Amino acid sequence: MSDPDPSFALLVERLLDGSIVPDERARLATLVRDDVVAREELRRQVADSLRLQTTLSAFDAEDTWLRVRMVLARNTGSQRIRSADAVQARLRAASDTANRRPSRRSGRVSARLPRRRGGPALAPLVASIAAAVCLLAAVWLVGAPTATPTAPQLARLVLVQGQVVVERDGRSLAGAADMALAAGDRVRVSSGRADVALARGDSVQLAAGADLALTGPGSVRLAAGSLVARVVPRAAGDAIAFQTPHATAEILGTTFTLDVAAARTRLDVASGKVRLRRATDAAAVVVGADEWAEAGPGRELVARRREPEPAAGPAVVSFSLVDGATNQPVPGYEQLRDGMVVERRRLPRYTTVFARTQPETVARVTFAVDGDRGIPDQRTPPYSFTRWDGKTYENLPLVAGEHTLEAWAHADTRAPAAPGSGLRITIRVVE
Amino acid sequence: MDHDPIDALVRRAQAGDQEAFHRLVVELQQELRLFVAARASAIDLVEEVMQAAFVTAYERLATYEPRGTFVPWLKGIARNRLSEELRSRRRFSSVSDDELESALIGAQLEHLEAEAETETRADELARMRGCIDKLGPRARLMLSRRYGDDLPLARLAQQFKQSEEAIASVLHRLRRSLRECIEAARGPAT
Repeated sequence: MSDPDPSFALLVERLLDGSIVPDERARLATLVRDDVVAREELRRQVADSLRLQTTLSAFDAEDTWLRVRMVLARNTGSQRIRSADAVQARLRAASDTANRRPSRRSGRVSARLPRRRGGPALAPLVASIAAAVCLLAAVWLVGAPTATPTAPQLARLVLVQGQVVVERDGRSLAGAADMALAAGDRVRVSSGRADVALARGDSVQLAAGADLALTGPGSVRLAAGSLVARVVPRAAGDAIAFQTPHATAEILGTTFTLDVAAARTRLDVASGKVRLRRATDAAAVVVGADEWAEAGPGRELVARRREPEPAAGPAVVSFSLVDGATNQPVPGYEQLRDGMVVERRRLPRYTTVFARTQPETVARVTFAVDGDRGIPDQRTPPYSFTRWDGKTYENLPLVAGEHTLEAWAHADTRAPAAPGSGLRITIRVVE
Repeated sequence: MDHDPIDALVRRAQAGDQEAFHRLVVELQQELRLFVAARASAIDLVEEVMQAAFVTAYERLATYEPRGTFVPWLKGIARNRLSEELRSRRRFSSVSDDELESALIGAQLEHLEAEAETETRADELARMRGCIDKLGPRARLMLSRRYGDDLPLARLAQQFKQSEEAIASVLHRLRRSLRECIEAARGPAT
């Protein structure tokens, strides 16, 4: 195999990297125009690079499904496709309590729904009535005519936990999963969280206190609070803009956190690159992976390397045994301790284990049972050792004997677990 | 009884079970993404085509006869969609006078059209991973930093204490050697 021409290889790498400048671009264009072999090698290098990116990058299968589902709902208007609405899911889950069938095990990533509240002692009838009341209340709050925006749809709420309000045309609507969002809509999260799917597969996770306005295609404004965004890579000139009172973050494909306080906006980039442009004078800085920058009065606009802080990083802090049908802790096993004895006869039909993390929401949690790490990781709380099959959490088979449970909290979806981020306990299961 | 678990899911999806289609998407997305990536010109195109292929597959699900060929059928849809998208982008790049983009897309289109219609590559991901595993630790680390952690060329050069040009040459060679490894693993028929 002959060595590549170093200057050609460098131009190709800069093209792939997105750092190619116009002069270099013109040189590469001339090269491939005049040389068929170079042109074919460029095509192959681009394809090879995309294949490697696909193989080695972390892609969330559930994100793909959410995007597909969103388009199908828009294309077909099908109630069946839209039926993943959290309220309806709660209604289904409640009515299924009395008539549960064995869970199905397949697929690597689980479909996660908000944790259902309500005690395990609720009779199915009471649960059904309560859920029906919830549904009626939600329909009343959302209101059929106003829940569908008249302006073109730009985004969709895909997950709502806690109190989330969508302000539209001067009216406040209760946020709900699968709710379409249009330009001018404002999403306020009073408590809990809300996940918003933007066009082209971009997604935004809003934390409690966040106030996000959809200002137009490819542009949102975070007035307050904090968000974590994942933006799929795109070409230069096609950036999505996240505006705040202090700055604009122009994104070409990355994962980052944006946090707005009264005096400053802080940007933390996990992967990719973001250009942070200050609102007052349009000065800009490019913030790369593992870097952060702040914009605001008296703040120097520079990218700073994020130092690892193992002690302050996310960590798994406890485990609890949970009834997979009700999502409630199993009495007596609310907090599993190392060396604890667990009686099988006290376990419900569907038993799972939740890992509690500090902070409550982390980028990813990975698991192992008896050293087996082949358990799907989880990216949204509650972080469970088994997958949600749409009705229950699958049963974690705890046969009599000793079992070691391990879980690790990750600060970034792609980052390995940091020292001190994991928890390991051994329990003894007896009949 | 369906011996093909994919067809079993397809049958359920055809009967209106949305959860079954959800599982098909989750199960097949990585294989489809790799199929499209090997033929696309940009990562955003990969995501766009993959999403469109699943949507079209859902809309045409009734026309599929379960004979264990769902994956090739899905890839065929993706292939057609990719071809349409590449043509559309080539028109745009010629209007916007982007010579490099136009040349790259033109090359991808020629390749796509010359490729056998029945191309399926069911084990492409396994082959790719197998070939990566055969690389030395430093090469694997460099690929992981470049593609897993998305580190730019300049940062790679810092981390590996080499010039950008040297790193670019190494990456160029690594991709080429992986390509040759995958082609060898496919066997002479391809």
